[in-house]
Amino acid sequence: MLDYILFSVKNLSHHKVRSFLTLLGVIIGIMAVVSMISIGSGMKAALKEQLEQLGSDKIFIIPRLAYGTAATTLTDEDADAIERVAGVAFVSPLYSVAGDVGFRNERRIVKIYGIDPEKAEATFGGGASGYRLLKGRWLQRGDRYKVVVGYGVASDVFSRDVNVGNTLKIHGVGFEVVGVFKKTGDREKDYTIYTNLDTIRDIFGAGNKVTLIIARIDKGADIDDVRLRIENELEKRKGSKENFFVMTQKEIIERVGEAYRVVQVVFGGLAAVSLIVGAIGIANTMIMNVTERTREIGILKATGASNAQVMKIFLTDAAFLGLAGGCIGVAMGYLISLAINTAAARYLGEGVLTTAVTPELVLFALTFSLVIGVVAGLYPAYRALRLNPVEALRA
Amino acid sequence: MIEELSYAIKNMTQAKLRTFLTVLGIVIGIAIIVAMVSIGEGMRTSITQQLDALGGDKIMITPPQAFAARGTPMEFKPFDQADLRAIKSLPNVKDVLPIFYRPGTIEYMGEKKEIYVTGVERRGAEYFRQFYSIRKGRYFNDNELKSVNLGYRVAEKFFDKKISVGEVVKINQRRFKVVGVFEEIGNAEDDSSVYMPLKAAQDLYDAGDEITMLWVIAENENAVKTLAKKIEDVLEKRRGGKDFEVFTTEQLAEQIATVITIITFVLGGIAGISIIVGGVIIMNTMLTSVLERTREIGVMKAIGATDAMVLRIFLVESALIGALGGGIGLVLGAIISKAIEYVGQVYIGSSFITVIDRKLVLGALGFSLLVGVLSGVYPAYKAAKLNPIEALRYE
Repeated sequence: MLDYILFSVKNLSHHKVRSFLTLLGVIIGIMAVVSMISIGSGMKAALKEQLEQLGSDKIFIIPRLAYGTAATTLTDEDADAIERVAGVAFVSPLYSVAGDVGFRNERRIVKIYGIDPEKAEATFGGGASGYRLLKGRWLQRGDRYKVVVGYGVASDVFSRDVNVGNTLKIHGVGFEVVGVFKKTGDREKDYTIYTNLDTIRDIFGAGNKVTLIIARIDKGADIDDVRLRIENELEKRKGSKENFFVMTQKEIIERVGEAYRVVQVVFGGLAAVSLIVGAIGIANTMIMNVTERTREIGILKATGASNAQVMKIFLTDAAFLGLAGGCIGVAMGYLISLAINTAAARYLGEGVLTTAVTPELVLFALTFSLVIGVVAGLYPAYRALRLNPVEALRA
Repeated sequence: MIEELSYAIKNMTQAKLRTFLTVLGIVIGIAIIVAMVSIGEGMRTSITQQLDALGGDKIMITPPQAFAARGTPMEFKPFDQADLRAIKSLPNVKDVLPIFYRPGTIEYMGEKKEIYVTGVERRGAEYFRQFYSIRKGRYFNDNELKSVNLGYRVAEKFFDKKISVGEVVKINQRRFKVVGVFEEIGNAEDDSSVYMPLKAAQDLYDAGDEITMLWVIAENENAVKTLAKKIEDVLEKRRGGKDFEVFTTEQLAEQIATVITIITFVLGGIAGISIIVGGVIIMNTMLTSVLERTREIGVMKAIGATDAMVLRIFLVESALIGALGGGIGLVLGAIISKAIEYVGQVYIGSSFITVIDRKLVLGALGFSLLVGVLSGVYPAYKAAKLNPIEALRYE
């Protein structure tokens, strides 16, 4: 085999420009595929990490969306009823709303989470899920008109930084900033204002409505069983189960991961077109090589080379072109992926778009480039072995 | 020029397989770009048409859309009758239409499906006649609190048996009589809605005088922009903040068109990488062609051909390859585009169209021609600079 590879290298270096251009075709293709797929993989990896931080013992009860707003039908009573379901340790209700927030003389629409501070801390607050205080303190039960703001709200939403002790006006009502979170890297968390559930519901006239219930299950309880029990309980209370979803952490990961897979397939698929064209380039080059080397093939055959040996010579050439292009392409794709990552973090903000070149992706790209090389080489190699030695010698 | 063309064609037919592969390299990329851009163009056209049909005298007031796109579900403070009256009292306002919108369920023949419930006032049909035209039956009247009109898909596609006028369906467990079915609007959300008097919808959800969104119809189309600004100010003052968005139909059209253009560009750009690879193949083929014809070039030069003439011969050949690839790619792309349109209309609705306009045709041909010329520059230059004496000696 080594013989064949050495022979290939010699042949290919004979036509340096041609081989280089052929390689270039494959390199561009693989580079495009690797960098594009890395976008989807990166987002999937980031999501997985995020949700793993949250732990796998939680069940989310989410109202069905209507026209971009929840128009929720869930209430405190539902949350209490869920807390009584066997296997549920406790629940954490949340009311989230788009509010007009004023700071000095600026006003912006910002997402506000109304939460129960004690329960929230144990459910999605605290250190485990990426929330860490940068300054000030966390909310306490019974706090009124106090807020803790995400890092993005503090540093990015208004032209001047929001600090502990400042006042934010939510729908005209003053709230004291008692804490600022450290950057979590999750845009949703960083660009949210956190305050006490009842205070915010008062301001928005939301009564006892909630837009999200997070249920934490007892240690050792079977999460799928609990999920089913919650669903049944809510169906009994609401009369139907069409207007809410009950999902475990795993199901949420799978659902969002599905969307990222679509991104991966679309981007990767379009990029793969270049790779197919690159393969056509290999086939083209190989055919030109076979034509030019007709006489050489005649000599090889006349001196006793078998059809299989001739075929192997040309297949090795093609495979070599594919694989070498693949290697360089992967390296360049990795660089582009890094560049996208850096640019996205800089211009779109941290955590909006991340890329990752996984070992699977590298392996896939290399295998793919090898296969493409071999496939593209099949017909030219077949043409070579079909040559009549007598006529080939005369060429 | 004709001479060069016929010469190029003669050369290209000499190595048919090589020419075929080289042209194919361009065909694939152009076909995919044409198909993709035609889908984007089609979406833009159909949305522009829908918004044109809407008329320039309308203003839409909605919950904050930008926030709805991602993250946890969220509420927003609904509009109410007092908001509506405040807008109505502004000058240049002809009418204000309140719309109530929530997810719900429909039950028919024991089968349950998810729908959207839209509460509207009867006179809305006058302003939106192009959209909500009656297919069967009639419009409901505002005092018929037990009557509904069904969207096209709800009546015709949701259940095994089509729902006819006069039948009774259960919406959120309550019984309603179907008095009419709308023609297909062409947008899945509207076609999957049921429509009932505003009051009936608000009662169904026990939602008081809650309004999800508002349509304002202006007296004078020219002053729509000023009116939109005024509405914004009035609502902001009333609600204590700008937690809503106001669009004129023109702004809406611009916004949607921009998003579609960006997506088309990104996807088309990724597919466009393959054309660069196609260009590399052209260059490779042309280089080989120059090499093979070294002697011929020597002869041409010896009998008086200038460098410019030789340059032109090879440039024309590579331009022809590019243009040929572009032409075939265009035809193939048009076929793919039509196929996608056919499938899209079955699954998405009649509003799914693809558009291949003159700009796209000229763009595709021009681009492929350009790639052909650019890829030919180096090989043609090489040919032009050949030393005739050495070229004649070449074997």
